[in-house]
Amino acid sequence: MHGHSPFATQNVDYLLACYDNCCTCIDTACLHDFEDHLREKGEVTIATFSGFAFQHPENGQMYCTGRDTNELVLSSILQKGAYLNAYEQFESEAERKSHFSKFKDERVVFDDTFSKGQKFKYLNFNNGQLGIPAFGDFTLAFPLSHFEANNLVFVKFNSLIRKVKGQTQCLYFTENNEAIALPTLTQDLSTLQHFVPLIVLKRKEDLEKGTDIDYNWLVLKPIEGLPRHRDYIEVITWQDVLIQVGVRLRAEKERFQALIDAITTPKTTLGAEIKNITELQSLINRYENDNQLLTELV
Amino acid sequence: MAFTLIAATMTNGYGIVADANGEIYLIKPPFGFHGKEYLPYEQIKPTISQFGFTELNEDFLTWEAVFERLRQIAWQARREVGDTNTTISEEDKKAFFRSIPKGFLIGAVEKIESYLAKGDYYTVLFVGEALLENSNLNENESLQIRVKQAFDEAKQKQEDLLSPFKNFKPDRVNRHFNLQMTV
Repeated sequence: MHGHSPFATQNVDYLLACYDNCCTCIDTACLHDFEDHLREKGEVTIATFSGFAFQHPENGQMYCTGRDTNELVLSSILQKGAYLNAYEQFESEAERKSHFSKFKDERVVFDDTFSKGQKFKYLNFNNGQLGIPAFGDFTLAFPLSHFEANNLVFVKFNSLIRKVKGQTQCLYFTENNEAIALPTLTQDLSTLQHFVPLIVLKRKEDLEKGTDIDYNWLVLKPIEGLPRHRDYIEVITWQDVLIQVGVRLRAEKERFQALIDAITTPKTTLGAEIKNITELQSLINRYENDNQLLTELV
Repeated sequence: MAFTLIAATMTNGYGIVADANGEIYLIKPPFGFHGKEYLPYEQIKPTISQFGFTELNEDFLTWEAVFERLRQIAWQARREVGDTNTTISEEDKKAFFRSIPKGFLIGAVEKIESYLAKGDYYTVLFVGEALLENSNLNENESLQIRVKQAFDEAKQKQEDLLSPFKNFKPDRVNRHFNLQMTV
């Protein structure tokens, strides 16, 4: 069993050396602004598949997801007041496997490799903007200050990402996903102290292209061929992630307004889903009134 | 066991729960099931049969587990009555606008103004009426004024549009039409 944080610390020399190399070919002032921006606005967000609504890309109609009661992640977090991982949420192995879905074996290998693996909560790094639209209609965002620095590790890519699209071999695993390829993983880890160099390294190519950089893309970039932002920086923590003052819930204004259109259009059949949303809203309101949650449209 | 779910309404997930000290609570939906109310058992006892409660006597360790069970009951009930993909009732639509959270209200207000600009007065009146009942809107004076203005303007414009037809008697027309059809 290994500790996650020591691996990230081992990576510091390598990271800083590469970071210095990057800094020579890009605008240092811009890079400093970027660092300042991230340290001020940086957040850690949760994928909140919420049973909310989405607009069909072809016919423009609104549909609601609401895949299953157990998957209304945001409702579940709000009800419990905390973001619980699969080990905390489901007692039975069968339920956990069903939750892990197609990554069930890899997740177990990953979590069992580390001493606090079963306490790991997997999140995404965000630059204070909307978040990852592919992860639900809401973004639940925790400020970096919410976390103890030594309980936080940043991973360059999603920890279970496939090496090649369409294949099952994961990037950070040995052959057939039997164990973690620790040297590969270690190289792509960072602590809170050095997370900016990790991001800069990940986007080295973009930074080298010129000074007119969209900073949002440095943290969150659409993978080519996919309509939504999926190439994010993963964050792993093993501390409690509780709803408390400073936590923000965001939604995209256009999508929210499209939902209003769907609700007011008599032809749309969204019955039970609208009720889910109404209930979700009541739950959000309760947290808002307790001043534990800020809501905003962006 | 810490909590016993004595009974629940299988149609909407109300629950009667006893804690380890024998104190009795009425749990109310929706969703969060945190609408917990302490009540003397003698007062609640007759409601078990009167209000459609079904005895369950299931034990749980935490309040969370109790709430989750009640939530499941409510969801199951909805599914059983085929309430999974039906048309939205007027009341559901209104409930949505009445419960829009504070930070999301600006989106709704801008939307209602765009309906007004498009001349969709009926929708402005419908959404506006429900929004004005949203307690979060009442706390935000500037947004409330914008909704009220949009609502009043839509009302006036719709009245202007309909005024030429104020002597229109649809019943009479239909009767005439029906007579023609039977001839």
